[in-house]
Amino acid sequence: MTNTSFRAQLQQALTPQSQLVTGVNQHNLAELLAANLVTENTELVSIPSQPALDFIQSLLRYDGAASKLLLLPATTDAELTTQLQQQAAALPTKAHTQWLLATSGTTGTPKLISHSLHSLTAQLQRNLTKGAELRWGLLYDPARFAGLQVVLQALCGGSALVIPTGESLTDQLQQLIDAQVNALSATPSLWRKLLMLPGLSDLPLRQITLGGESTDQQTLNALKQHFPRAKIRHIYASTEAGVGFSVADGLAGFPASWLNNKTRKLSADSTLLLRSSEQDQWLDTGDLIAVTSDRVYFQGRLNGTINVGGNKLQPEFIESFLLQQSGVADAYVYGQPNKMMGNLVAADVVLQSGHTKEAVFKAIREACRNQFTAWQCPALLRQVDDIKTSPAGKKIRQQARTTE
Amino acid sequence: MMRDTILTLMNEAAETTGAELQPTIDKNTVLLESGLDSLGFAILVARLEEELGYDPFSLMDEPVYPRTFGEFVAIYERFAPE
Repeated sequence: MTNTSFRAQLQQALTPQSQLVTGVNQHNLAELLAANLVTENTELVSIPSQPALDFIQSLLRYDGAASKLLLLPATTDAELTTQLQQQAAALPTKAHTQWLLATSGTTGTPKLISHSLHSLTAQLQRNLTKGAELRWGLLYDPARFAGLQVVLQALCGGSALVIPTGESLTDQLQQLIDAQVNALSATPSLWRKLLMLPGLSDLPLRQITLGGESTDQQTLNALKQHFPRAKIRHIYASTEAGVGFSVADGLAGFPASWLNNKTRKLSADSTLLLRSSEQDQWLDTGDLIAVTSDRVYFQGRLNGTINVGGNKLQPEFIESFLLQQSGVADAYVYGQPNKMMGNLVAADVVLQSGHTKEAVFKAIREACRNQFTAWQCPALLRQVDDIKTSPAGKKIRQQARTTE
Repeated sequence: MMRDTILTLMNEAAETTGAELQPTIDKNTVLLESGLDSLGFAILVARLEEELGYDPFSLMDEPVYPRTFGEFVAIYERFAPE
């Protein structure tokens, strides 16, 4: 399938249910294909992710014709666009059209990763009979790895693709409900926000995907409770490695038997190493893992530790504990700089409705004291309405925060 | 009352760190014998900054190390905004 263009793949995957919905507009995919014939060969094409219809039309038009497709997320400003275009132009050309995706770049300038359509579509479900029953909703930016996966899965899998418009999550959810979306992929942070919206249960979900951050048991359980008949899977993927795997047994982490093979192993730093079939070298993901007798659990980022008076702690370790406490809808744990200790453990907490800050915080202090040593317990608890997420839907983690 | 605010947050810091505060804390109580350890005091100062909006220890030109609870309260009163 190496030389099969996006156009050709979409052509082969058309089913009577194939459809593209952007906002309130419905588009027939067969007509889109007919209207977007291959144009002349070009070197580099920049493709902004909005408007979504133009984005998909450009992919159809230029894959196979251009040497490089530079996919630009909605948050890319003019300055960054120029930087990325220069980076893209400097890359050596290859025999196939390169799909250039920027890393979500929590720190520093995003880096471009070159993919082929072949590698991006290698793990798609191609069963068109099953695909025709699915209507995928897109809550990610389609120019980012996770979003592009949804676009390709829907369009090359014979499904409908629904791309909501507008900024508010409530509005977007309503559009997904109106379009009868039954397959949805989001980060655990975004799922926790969706779980707080009253309308979520109106979505007839059959397939639920979590990815982009490590998935905790509590969020999996909440989704199972809301959607008892849905198939729930959480995926681990790396933009750099261009590969990943999915876990469908409803449990956080992944089976220990999946480790120590040709594609996955543990590093000396306790991080996960990955290798794709196309690469010789192991790629260090920087994601810390803990291996028990039968399960591997993600423990946060190697460079995300909080240092409290010389003791080191992974914020995710405390976060997953806080999420298990009654009344807690979401939590974000970070180090707050402190003159005496270097850092103190601070936690922003979103409460579930009907719970008071006083009662929940008191219970949290008591539970943490019983579970952890003193320096690990959140010293500063704050109630917040919302936990900020990046354009990629992940909690924004900072190396250091100033006291404000 | 500054004293009451500080006592409330001392209790909270003790609760967080699992420390046992002395049954009575008055102006002559030596801070190092109050029951809070260095982590407890770091939490206390950070929480006081949250509640009061200032940290006197970062505002003072010459570092002052309070020895007793009374001196600790006095420092917070001295640096309170008008």
